[in-house]
This record gives sequence, C-alpha cells and structure tokens, in this order.
Amino acid sequence: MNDPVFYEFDVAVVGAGIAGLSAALLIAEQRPDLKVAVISKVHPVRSHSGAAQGGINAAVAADDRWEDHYYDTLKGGWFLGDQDAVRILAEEAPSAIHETGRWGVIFNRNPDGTFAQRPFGGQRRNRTCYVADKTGHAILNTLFEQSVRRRVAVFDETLVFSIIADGGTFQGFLALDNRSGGLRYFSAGAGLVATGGAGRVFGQSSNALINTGDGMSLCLRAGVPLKDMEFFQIHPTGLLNGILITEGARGEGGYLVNAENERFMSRYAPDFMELAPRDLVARSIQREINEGRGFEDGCVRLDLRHLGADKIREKLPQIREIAINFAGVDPVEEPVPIRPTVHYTMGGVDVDCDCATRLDGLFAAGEASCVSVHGANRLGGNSLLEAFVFGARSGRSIIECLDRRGRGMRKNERSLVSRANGAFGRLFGESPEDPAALRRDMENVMVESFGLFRDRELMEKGVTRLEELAGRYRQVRVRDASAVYNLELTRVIELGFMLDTARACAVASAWRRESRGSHYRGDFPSMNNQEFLKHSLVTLDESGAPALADRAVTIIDTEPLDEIKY
Amino acid sequence: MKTRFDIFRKRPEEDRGRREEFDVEIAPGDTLLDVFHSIQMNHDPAFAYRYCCRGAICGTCAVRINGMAALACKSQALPLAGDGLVTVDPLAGMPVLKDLVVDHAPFWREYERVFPFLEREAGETDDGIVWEEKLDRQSLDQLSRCVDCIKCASCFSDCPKRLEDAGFIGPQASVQLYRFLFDFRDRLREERLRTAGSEAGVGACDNHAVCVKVCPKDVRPLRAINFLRKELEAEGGKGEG
Repeated sequence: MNDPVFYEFDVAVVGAGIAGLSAALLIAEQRPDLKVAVISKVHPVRSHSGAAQGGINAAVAADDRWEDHYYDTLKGGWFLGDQDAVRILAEEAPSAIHETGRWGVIFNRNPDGTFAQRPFGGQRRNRTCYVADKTGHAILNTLFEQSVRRRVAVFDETLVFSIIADGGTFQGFLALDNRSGGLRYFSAGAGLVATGGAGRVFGQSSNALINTGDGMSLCLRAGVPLKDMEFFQIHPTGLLNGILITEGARGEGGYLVNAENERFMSRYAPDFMELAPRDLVARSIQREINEGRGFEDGCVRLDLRHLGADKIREKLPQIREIAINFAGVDPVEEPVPIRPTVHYTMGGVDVDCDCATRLDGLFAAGEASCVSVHGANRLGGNSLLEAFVFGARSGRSIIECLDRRGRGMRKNERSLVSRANGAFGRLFGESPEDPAALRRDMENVMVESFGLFRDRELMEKGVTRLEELAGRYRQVRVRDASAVYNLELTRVIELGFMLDTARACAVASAWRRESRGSHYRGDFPSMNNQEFLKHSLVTLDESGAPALADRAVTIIDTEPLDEIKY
Repeated sequence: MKTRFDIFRKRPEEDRGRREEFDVEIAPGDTLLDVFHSIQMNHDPAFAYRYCCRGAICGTCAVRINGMAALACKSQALPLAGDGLVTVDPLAGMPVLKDLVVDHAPFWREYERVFPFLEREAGETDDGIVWEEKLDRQSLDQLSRCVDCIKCASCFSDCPKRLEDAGFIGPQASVQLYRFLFDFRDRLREERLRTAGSEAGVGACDNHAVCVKVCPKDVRPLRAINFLRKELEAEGGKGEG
C-alpha cells in the first residue's frame, strides 16, 4: 500500500451525524482558532440521524419540569441509566430545542406560538417536539448548513479503520478515502467517535446500511471498553424489510391489531395500550406472532384508517410514503403489515458524563457511545436529544482537553501509522471465505440467539458460533484490488467491525442473568437489582477474545424500582 | 423472475463508459437497490454504486432509470421489469468516478454559492413565533417542502437548462435560496435577492418542470423558482417606485 497522506488538526471528529456535527459546531463557534476536521464514510447529510422521524423530548412546556423527564427516562431505562448522566440530558433538553431553533430548525408550533409536542411511549405527558415526521432530517440538515457557514473541513466518503494511540494517549485516525482509494492519516490533539449505532449486525434492522458499529469496534480494538452491549432496542413496528414506521403513527392514534382483529395490547398494557414502552410493545407483537395470531406474512397490522385520510396526509406524510413505496400499502386504505425490527444500540463506547473515554484525548458521543442515559431501553424522542446534548458537551470537553494537553505530532506517530498501514495491505488477495456468506451467518446467529427472547442455551450456542465466525473472518481477503470506490473492501472492513460488536453483545448478554429492558431472558424473567444493577464492560484480552467486567450504576437521588410496570 | 438490466459501466482509468447487461432474479418487493446488491455480490464484486439508508430519506442512491433520475431504493424492480429491458445510468451533469458513482462536486458548488444557511444575530431566539402570521399559507407550504429536500441531485442531473448552461445555479440551489429568503429570521435577504436575480439565478430557468417530475420528495423546485421570481418582481417594483 501507498503511504498515507498526513493531515494535522486540533480536533478530528469521526461521524457527521447530529452528535459529530454538534461537537464540530460548538468548537467552531466557541474556538474559531482550533482546526477541526469532520471525517465521515458518507456525506454529512446522508448520516442516519436524518432518518429519525418522530421528535426530540424536552420539558419546554410551561407546566412541565425537567425532573419529570428525568424520572420518565430513568424508569423507561429500567434504572440502568446513570443518574448524573440522565440529569444532564433532561436538564439541558430545553436548551437543545432553543439552540437548534436558533440555527434554523422550524419546529411545529401551537396556534399561540408555543412548541407543539406529541405523546411518545413511556412518558407521562406530551413532551416530544417535532418537525412533522422528519425531525432528524430537519436538525441534521440545519447543523450541516451551519457547518458550511462556519467552513468546517469535511472529509466525506472517508472510512476510518484504525485509531492510532500510544501509551494510553490518542494520536489520530487512519482512514481510507473511498473516492481515490488513497489512505489518509488525521493526526489530532483530540478525537471524537460519533459514528452511530450497530443495528446492522442483526440484518433485520431499521438502521441504514452504514450502521455497522464502526466506532465501537475501533474503540474496542484501541483498548476502550464497550458498555451495556447486551441492550439493542427492538422497535415494535418495522416493515418486512426492516424499514421503520415511527412511534409517531401510534402517538397519533394508530392501532395494533392481530389476525383475530383484536387490539391485543389490551392484554399486555391496558392503560398505555399502543403507547407502552417499546420493549413491551415489541415483545407483545412477537408473542402474538409466535403464538399463531399473526397474519400469513409473519406480521401483525398497524391500522391507521380510523384517523382519516386528512390527518394521515397532514401529520404522517412520510409514514404514508414509506408504506406505499416499501410495502406497497397505502395506510389510508389498508392496515400496514409490521413486525419488530432492531432499531437502536443502547450500549456503546464507555464514556463518562464529559464524553471522555479511558484513552486520553479520545471522546465519544451519540449512539456510538454509552454515557449511559438510555439504560436498558431508550425512550422515543431521547436519541436525537442525546446526540445533540452530548455531542455539544463532547465539544466543550475537547476544548478543555486541548487547553490542558496541547497538540501536535508525536515523534513515534509515523512508525505506529506504518504498522497499522501494513496490516491494511494484508487485506487483499484470494479469499478462501465468502464475506457475504459470513455476514449472513452472523445476522442469523444474532437474530436466533440474541433477539427478543433470550436464554442460556441459545446464547451459549450463539457465543460459540460467533467466535467461530470471527476465526473464519481472519481468512477473508478482498478479491477486488481496484482503488476507486471499492465496495468489496468497504464491506469487508465493515464486517470486521460488526463481528466485534456482535461478539461484545453476545458475551454481555450471556453474563446478564436477569431480564431488564430490551434484554429479555426466558430463564431469568425478572429484573434483579441485587446482582445486576450494574453495567457490563467488554474489552478484548491479549488473544483478542472478549473479556467481561462490570461497574455499579450511578445512583444519586432516585431509588430504583424492583419492578417496572406501566 | 429473471430480468435483464442494461447498466452503464466505467472504470476510472477508462475515458469512455460502456454498457453491460446482467440477468438478475427479482422477487416482489425488491427495489432497484436490491438488484445492485445482487449484481455486486453474485456477478461482479467490482461493480460500484452508492447506497445508505435504503429508505428514501438520505438521498444517496439516485441514478437514472430508463433515462430519468430516481432513487434506486425507492424504485420497485418488478413494475420496472414489466416495461422490458431496464437501463440504468449514473446521474448526468457530473463527472463519473466509476460505474454509477458520480462526483457531486458541481452539485455542492452550486449549493454553497447561495449561502445555504440561516444567518442571524447572536442571541436571537425563536420565542413565541407564529409562522402563520409571518407567511401566507402557500409560501409556508413551499418553505416546508424546501426543508424536505434530501439533496439527492436528481433535479440537478435532469434539468435540461442546467445541462445546456452550467452557469445556471440549477433547481436544488434555487430551492435552497427559497428556504432562507422566505425565512423571516434571516439577515442575508439582500444577498439572496441579488443571487436569485443574477444571470445565474432563477431567471435562467426555462420552465421545463423536469425538476418537479423527478423529485422523490415532492419539493417542487419550479414552484419555489416561481415564488422567487414574484418576490424579485415585487422588490424590483419597490425599487423603481
């Protein structure tokens, strides 16, 4: 391989979704003297933040209190969220709405000019601000616009494949420029990982095809633990191909119906019905399907017809468009076939409330990270909020870090880069393994062993199979040697990332002998605060095998409940 | 059902592209993007195309299908196959890097030309704004459509005027102009009016309306252009008076 082109920045941000751009913008606004690079494997406006439809939670109403948002988030997360982190999220939420508005986002409003807010699952009042059903799109594009205004340097279609670190200190990111096939090395005083989630490890997922856990794997390989990786939120309502139908559809009054034409949520959550927390709704749907009350296509139905054509067109235009284009069904006319789909990665890179990792100078924010605010289950409307609040917060932490430790290339940096570069070169050649087949195997293992219903036997089998797949992955080579836009190369690198996150999920899931939030075990059906009110931490040992440790949940002022009921 | 796809191919080192036909098995519900995946995995690992959300919200995968720009992920393959041989080409008006992958630089250049961001005084906030008091219903509807734009460059690719006159900012940049000219919070009104009224601006549009037809999000760029023209007329009238 050719030597990489070297760049020097004060700050290198990987990922250009809402978390990454919020951090870059905060730094650009507060410290225009600092040189910031944003590196992303896609153009910023393609980032998966843009797919978030429903909204962003904040206690902005005159009669709402951040304390209530705080409690709803803690309870929704089955008290696994760290209370200091959740407090930051809830307390800073109103300023996130004002700040994104200041930059251009046009939130829906009531006739009196106050923010319109819709009801979302697991919250005791309407608290979700929105821009029709394209809230993420509106915020992401607004942040990108402001990054253009601030002339933030963006390296798009550039895939980071290695973190360079030395003696516990972050040094830079090594990346592949997909358009030229050339390598780029970004030496930086501080780095931010904001690469989003890893839903793609399950195959059946609402996530964009790019959500392959890149930053989680990069950090794991650099010695930073992954936290709470057993928790993947499974969204109750995906189309057959995984594309999401937002909770907003139920928030506006949609019904879930089985093949016996019964609103079955009356048996699982009579008070909240379709707006019970996501994990409960997802398991209820899966149980209906498993127990034979689904339709022939293996789905139940989301029925919106009673809302009327006008309301569907006005309030849920994107949902209607999605159902027509991807399921061939117009919700004005017919109920939409839906089944659960993997939606959100609650776990992620272990960071503290200032978004700092164990590696000095390396930070993480957004879905790639785990602060943790979502605990064992994220509430709808809290993901955009986390991305923005903690994205900006990581920006502030990075400024402090740079003021403390300075910047500039270190003398051994080039030799570390050339070592990583050599490993990259060995990826090419004749391949005894088909990466596409390996990937399908991984997806199947994840769905079968680590899906909505887990138990010891299933998971032990899953752990073994994943270790076997990881062994076979080491034989994979890239057959296509072309430089420009080499999709096979991209996919092989991404498969490596996915296998790391899948294995972390597997060992953490097998360790947690209780049911909590999205982690549901048939053999341990209750939550167990005595033994498991703690986070799992996965690292790689010297042989590259996952190793597990744990850490107590931070409790400040709220006694965790021993049972979660709605 | 086996269907034949006639696809534009070009390696970076080649001066000109060529065409290659692939017979691909498709099932109901498959999109054109699924067809691309199948070609890359089963026929040619070197086949290059762009993809991301596969849900028509990120704007990454636009190509020309039977001569018209569209998102590959939003195009059901079976109905296309019913029409016979399906041709697929990269977007027009931008250099081809490889196969269906174009260099979007010309598209983003026009985008950046029109100050695509809200410019306002520090410390200003949105407290208590009632948008309906600031804009009439039609203008507000168009503003919301302009916010919807996913920058897929379909309109830019297929605009007949832009293809013959690269001086024209094109439909997407016009949408961007509207987005902020009609946002009363913005402080760059003069600059935006000047850009809209310049030789490269909305006057250059020849009203082909292809932009309206190919837009996957119903942004209606020509409508935005017409509202901008009216705004320019009104401003011009004021200037003369």
